[in-house]
Amino acid sequence: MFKLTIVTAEQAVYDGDIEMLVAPTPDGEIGIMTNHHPLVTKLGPGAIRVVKTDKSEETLFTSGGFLEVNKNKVILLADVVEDIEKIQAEEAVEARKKAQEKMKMTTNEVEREKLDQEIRMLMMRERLAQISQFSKKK
Amino acid sequence: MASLRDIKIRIKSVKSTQKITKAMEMVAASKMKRAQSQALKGRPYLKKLTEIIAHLLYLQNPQLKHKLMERRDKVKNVGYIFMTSNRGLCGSFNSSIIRKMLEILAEKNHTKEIVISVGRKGRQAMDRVGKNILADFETMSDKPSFVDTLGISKIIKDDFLSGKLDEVYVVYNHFYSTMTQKPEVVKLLPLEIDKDVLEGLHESDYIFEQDKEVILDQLMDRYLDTMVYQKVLESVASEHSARMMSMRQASDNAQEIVSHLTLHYNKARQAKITKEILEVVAGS
Repeated sequence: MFKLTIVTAEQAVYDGDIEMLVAPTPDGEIGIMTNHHPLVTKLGPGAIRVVKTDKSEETLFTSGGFLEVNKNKVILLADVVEDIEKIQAEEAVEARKKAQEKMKMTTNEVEREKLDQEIRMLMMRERLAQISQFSKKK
Repeated sequence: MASLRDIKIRIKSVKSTQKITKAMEMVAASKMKRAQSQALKGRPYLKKLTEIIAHLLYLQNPQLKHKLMERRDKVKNVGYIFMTSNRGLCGSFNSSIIRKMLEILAEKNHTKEIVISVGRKGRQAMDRVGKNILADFETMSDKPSFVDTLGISKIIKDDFLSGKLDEVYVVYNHFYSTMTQKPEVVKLLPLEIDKDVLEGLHESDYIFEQDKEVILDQLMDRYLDTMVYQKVLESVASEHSARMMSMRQASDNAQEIVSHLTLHYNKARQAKITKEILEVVAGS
């Protein structure tokens, strides 16, 4: 058991004791359990999975951020956090298409680089929303 | 003494003014509540971010440096982010911050001041004294989101790195409580990371998943963005608090005038009745 704090610039999202945390990094996923070695990493877009002490799970979407692990205290600084179950799959598709449209119009190299990242983030969001919807139907 | 009818009309007009100020007080109160909680909610993020950065900067061997912390020997161009409100009727909120800004501009210390304004009142004040503005963010909403403020931090970051600005300050109203907000000037760039936050933290042998420099770079970017965002929130919370307090004052004043006038009205009415009775008695 260790303490997890998830905060964004706009609000505190989660604060409590948990069993395990799985967070997305740019190179894959990282799992944190009790007594993990101190660590600092960037986070990529993807799903944050929180396994609570009563074994129930919560899944959140994040667009990116930072993770610090120190002496059974885990701080997750996220840019944006959304509850996956609350993302509408249709809306997620729309958002991704919009960004891709914008990409076609832009010629500026720096802008394109940024949009590319945003699209990748939105695609991840879309996929997670679809998976969540699919598993709910069953 | 004014006639009965005149007094009655005045009472009515004061009462309707009071209704308006009362309504504005309510609106400001609800906006204030939201803005205050938003300003307070942002604080933990900034604190944790500072802790991680301080850790990286001061407890690592060899010590890391960052380009946003670079101190320039000759400070020639100084930028000021000047935060005011778009609308008036908020007591001394705008006037005190504008006075502060003008004081800064009046100081002669061989630097060139460059102003970035957030809020219409500030821009108008700068127009009046004929000061050019580098950028203007008038459309900041009552409920600013993090993304809304990214434009401001991008401008100062780019200009600082390209050498157009050597130092950047923010001039804003700091929110202490509903009753007190004070104009303050805070240095944003070059970034200064407080060593105090290290108290209670101890050196540990961190694993870094990515390059330290890459992580620090992104943390610093995010730190500056968050600082600007936090200052905008403070300013908005102060604005609504100031407006609520001044509207409450106005409603109270109106109430006082109404009771004063009502007394007058009753006196005049009594005098009139007495006069009429005297006329009747004298006539018979």
